[in-house]
Amino acid sequence: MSDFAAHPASFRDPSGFLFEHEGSIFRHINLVYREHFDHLIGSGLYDALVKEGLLIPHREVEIRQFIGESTYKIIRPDRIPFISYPYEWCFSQLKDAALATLRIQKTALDNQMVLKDGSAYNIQFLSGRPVLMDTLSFAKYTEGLPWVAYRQFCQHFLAPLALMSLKDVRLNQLFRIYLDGIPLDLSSSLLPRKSLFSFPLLTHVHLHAKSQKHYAQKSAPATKRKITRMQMLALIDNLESAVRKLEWKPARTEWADYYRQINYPDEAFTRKKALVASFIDRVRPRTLWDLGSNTGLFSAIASQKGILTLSFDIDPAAVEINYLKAREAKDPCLLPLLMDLTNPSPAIGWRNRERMSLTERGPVDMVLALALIHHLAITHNCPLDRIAQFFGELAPSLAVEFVPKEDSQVRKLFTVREDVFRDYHEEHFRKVFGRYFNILQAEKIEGTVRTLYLMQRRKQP
Amino acid sequence: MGLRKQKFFILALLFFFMMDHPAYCYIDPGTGSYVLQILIAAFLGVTFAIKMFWQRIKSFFSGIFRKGRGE
Repeated sequence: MSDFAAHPASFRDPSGFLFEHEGSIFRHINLVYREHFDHLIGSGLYDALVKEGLLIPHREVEIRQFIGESTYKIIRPDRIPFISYPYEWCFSQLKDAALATLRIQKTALDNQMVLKDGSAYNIQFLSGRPVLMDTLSFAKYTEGLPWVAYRQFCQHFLAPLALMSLKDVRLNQLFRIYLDGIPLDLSSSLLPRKSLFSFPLLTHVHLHAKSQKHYAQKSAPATKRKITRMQMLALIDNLESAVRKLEWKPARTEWADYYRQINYPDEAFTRKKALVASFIDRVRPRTLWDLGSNTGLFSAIASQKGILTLSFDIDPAAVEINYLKAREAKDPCLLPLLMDLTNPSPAIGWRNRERMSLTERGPVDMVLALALIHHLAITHNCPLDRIAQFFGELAPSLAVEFVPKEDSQVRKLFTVREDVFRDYHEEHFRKVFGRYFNILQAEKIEGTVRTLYLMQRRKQP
Repeated sequence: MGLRKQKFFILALLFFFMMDHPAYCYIDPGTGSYVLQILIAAFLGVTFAIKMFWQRIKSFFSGIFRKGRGE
């Protein structure tokens, strides 16, 4: 094997690893995994899962220079255009990923295999649906052995969903700290008392945590108790019904009812939509990030044109509504994600290279920043210059809305804070954005005091 | 319902039995997960078998009624 290195996030599994070659991602399958890989293909499990849209399709390739002593095969999985992480998912995204994982485990059992990982990071959203992206997650099933991914499933799915549903939806942010899912003792101590009266939560979370502590200093008991196939199916069935029962309904949160509250006249709103559509048509991007997308009304304009659209918002309720809408519409091009733009996802994990930061996952062809900069500039004291710089780092094309101080939404911000933002006016906005972008078009949104700009990044000297 | 109560009772006992052991962060939590899984699966296996059996009975009778209505 010559000059190629494993992807920085791909090193834990001895079965194989990912690597990049000429801009594409490949998976190197090690000889030790041969038996399992052959069974995955030969048993029909691969075909069954791909047909159901639960496993990423791949094709086998032969790249001579990468074949070495430990090589069994090299495969090229379909491209996943944007990698997202569980701390960026809303409740229903994590729930759908959990149910997909359990469906995969059941299908695997039908074909004499098991999932050997229960990691949420192995699931990605492809064309709007959760898909297992790790082809090497399967092992041949030996009757009697417990489910090796049980603990991981509880930490990555059941406990976080229970915390989000019964305690606070923002607790999924614990994923950012705990790379291997939320520890069960922590989940157990955070969950409300009523969770003790749910049989699955009592057992899979609370007792599970106690059992982990109890056996922490002891070696495994000598008795070799086994778990039959029927018992394994019972366990999966119980986890599935536990996940299904957990729910979270977005209440009236800060932003989720924004469109209903806003004092835009209907015509102005229609006009704004038409302007955004015309800007998108002029740029013709392949990928677009809608920053501060709320429930995704404007993101959908892009995604319906077949543009891969990432729809970011800070509000879990807005992201939830956006996801549920996109799921119902079966929109394959829209992916809503949770993101605080003043503190976007950092690079985390081993050597800070396992999970990518938001900006590493760019650049993108076009950024939409509608009704956003007054929040960044006034609520978060972020100077316009820095906002322009950030947008310039993300994309060559930008559609940005300037919301002046006279706007009712901005006036509302000043009811509780002193106006120390002398530079927050349109002239200054044009000046500082002009340092990074050329203004291609500026359109007043009739019926409002706002202006919509289309900008193109200046060539770097 | 009786079975559910029984299940709850046994597990609650187990719960109290296991309480108040200090946590050690550097120790692999695998053993505890392994033991608990076997225990829970044994319980669930019984209820699952009953559930499957019951579903079969239900579908048998609903099949008969459907047939009856059809004729």
